[in-house]
Amino acid sequence: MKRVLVRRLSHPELLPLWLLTPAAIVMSVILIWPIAQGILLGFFNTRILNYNAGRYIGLANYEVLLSDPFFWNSLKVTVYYGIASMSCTYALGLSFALLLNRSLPLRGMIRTIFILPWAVPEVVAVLIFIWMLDAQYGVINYFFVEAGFLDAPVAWLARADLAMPALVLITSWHQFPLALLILLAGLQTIPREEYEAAMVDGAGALSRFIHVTLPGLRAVNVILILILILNSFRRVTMIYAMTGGGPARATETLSILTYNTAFTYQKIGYAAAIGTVLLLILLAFSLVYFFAIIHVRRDA
Amino acid sequence: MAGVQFVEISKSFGQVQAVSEVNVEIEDGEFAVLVGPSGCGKSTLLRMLAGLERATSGSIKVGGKVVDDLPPKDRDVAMVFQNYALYPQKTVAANMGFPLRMRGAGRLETDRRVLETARILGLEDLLKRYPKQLSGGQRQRVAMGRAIIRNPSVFLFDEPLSNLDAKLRVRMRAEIKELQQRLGTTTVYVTHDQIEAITMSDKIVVMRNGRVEQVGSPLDVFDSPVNRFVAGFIGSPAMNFLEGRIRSTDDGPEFITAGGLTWKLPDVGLRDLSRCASIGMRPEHIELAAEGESDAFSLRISVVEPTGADTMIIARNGSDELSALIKGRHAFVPGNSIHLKPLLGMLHFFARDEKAIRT
Repeated sequence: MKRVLVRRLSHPELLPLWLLTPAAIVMSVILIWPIAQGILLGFFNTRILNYNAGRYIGLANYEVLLSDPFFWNSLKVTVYYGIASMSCTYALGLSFALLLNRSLPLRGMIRTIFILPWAVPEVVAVLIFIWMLDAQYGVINYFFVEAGFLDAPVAWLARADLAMPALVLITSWHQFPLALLILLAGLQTIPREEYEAAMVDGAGALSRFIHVTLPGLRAVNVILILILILNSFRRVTMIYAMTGGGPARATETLSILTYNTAFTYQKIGYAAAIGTVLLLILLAFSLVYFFAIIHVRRDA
Repeated sequence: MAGVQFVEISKSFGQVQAVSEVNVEIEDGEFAVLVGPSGCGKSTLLRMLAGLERATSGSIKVGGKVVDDLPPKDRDVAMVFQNYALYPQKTVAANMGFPLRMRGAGRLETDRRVLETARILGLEDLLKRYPKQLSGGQRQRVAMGRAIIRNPSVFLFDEPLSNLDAKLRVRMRAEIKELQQRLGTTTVYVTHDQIEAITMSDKIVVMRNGRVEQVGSPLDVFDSPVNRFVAGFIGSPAMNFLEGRIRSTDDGPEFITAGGLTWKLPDVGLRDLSRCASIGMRPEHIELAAEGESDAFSLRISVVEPTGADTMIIARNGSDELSALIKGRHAFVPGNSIHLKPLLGMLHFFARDEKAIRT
């Protein structure tokens, strides 16, 4: 009896499962357990990170959430930030990828230089930008005023209408190397003959971009756009260091709202509920990502 | 329709001289094949004609008009690439219609001509498919459709059959030739396969190391190669060469091979045989001889390859080696000796500088 069981469990088809087991255990302990705790916290009214200290209130946190203007503002900000930073990052990445895909002198060195922003820690990048955007000493204000675009220096991060564009700017600056690398890899999979065939067929530069380059990038585009949006939804460090969600909640994304609610206002249960909503959104995007990858693999 | 002229065309990539002073004229409606071993410059020559590479010096004319400064799209040429270069995200119909759309043709006009072209190539049922859903031969036909649809002055083919299996290659060879004869369009076709070159072309341009070695009709090049390279490159199985030197005797000149065979040179009407350093003979021009025949070689059989209809043998004597294609089936035994003699009218004589010796 025992021997039969051993033989069944050591069946070669089960080997992958056995090999995955240690990783699965570690994942459960450090990832799934905390996430479950977090979701659970959302059903309690608690001010510390322990639901035993609070009172079970069912879906009350979620009821409050649905009528909370700050939550809806935050959702709007998140979508705005996600789409704007993704678009700018993508545009920057694509421009430089197209440039670096040509044979340039010193191409290797230029590539390395373009990857550098990514290597700068987010907080350091933010500090540099805060300094550059400074109303009194900032080089950006100096440039705009000198060039005649502005009459007087502007306190970018103190104005509700300018803080988000500034945040999008620094995010794109910091993140575009990721887009650049992925798009460059995508560009290099497009065979040269396709461009040559298009040239002989009568396509100009723009037509070649539309009919060869963009279709050739379709697979990486799907993945890249999802990664960029997912990243923007999850981003805390950069936004927190730059504006803390202000001014007047103009840059308060869901992740910042979660952080502020939990650690500034000490409403842990409520924050857990917001976090759970964010988790659901991320999950939805991850599923799209998952199926997109399967689709792309099948295509290739 | 238009002829093509290469005038003193040279191309170098940095230090590498890819094409040197090529002068070739291809007549209107002619099927010309550029053939040579890889790296001989044939593809570069074709790409310069397409406008994908710029010549370092010299000039190219299409239809009598210099096209050196024209971009590919203004040269009125269409090209079929080795890997077909179909647009993977476009359907067969969109692939074939692309050159028309790029030239401003309307949707209705394009659809009509795509259908027309698809009929010529037997692609009507595949118009909605994508390239990855097609077999190699079908892709090849789509690439041809994309080339012929706009009725260009010149077709360019860059080793279009090298990605196909042997059987399909033979069929597509015939299809391409038939299509070209039907359309009568000037065609420049690049290949490293000399069988393709001989079977398809009106004119063969044999190249080596960036230079043109010989231009002529296929049979001309086969029968009268100008040097040892062309003689050895064109023809399958390849021509045999016996190295040696001439010795004068009272009976007339003798050829002594490097392997030590002595062979009394027959009178084949060549005046200047004293310069002869090697003799070439095609395997199919060698036949069995009886023992003791004066112009026969005695060699030892080393390999026997029955091909069904004929028997191929490789026979050696020292460093001399001959391959011979003997008609019919024979029970040759490796290790036995054999007597072979060449057909006298089919011999090729080459001087020390590898040039053919002619009358």
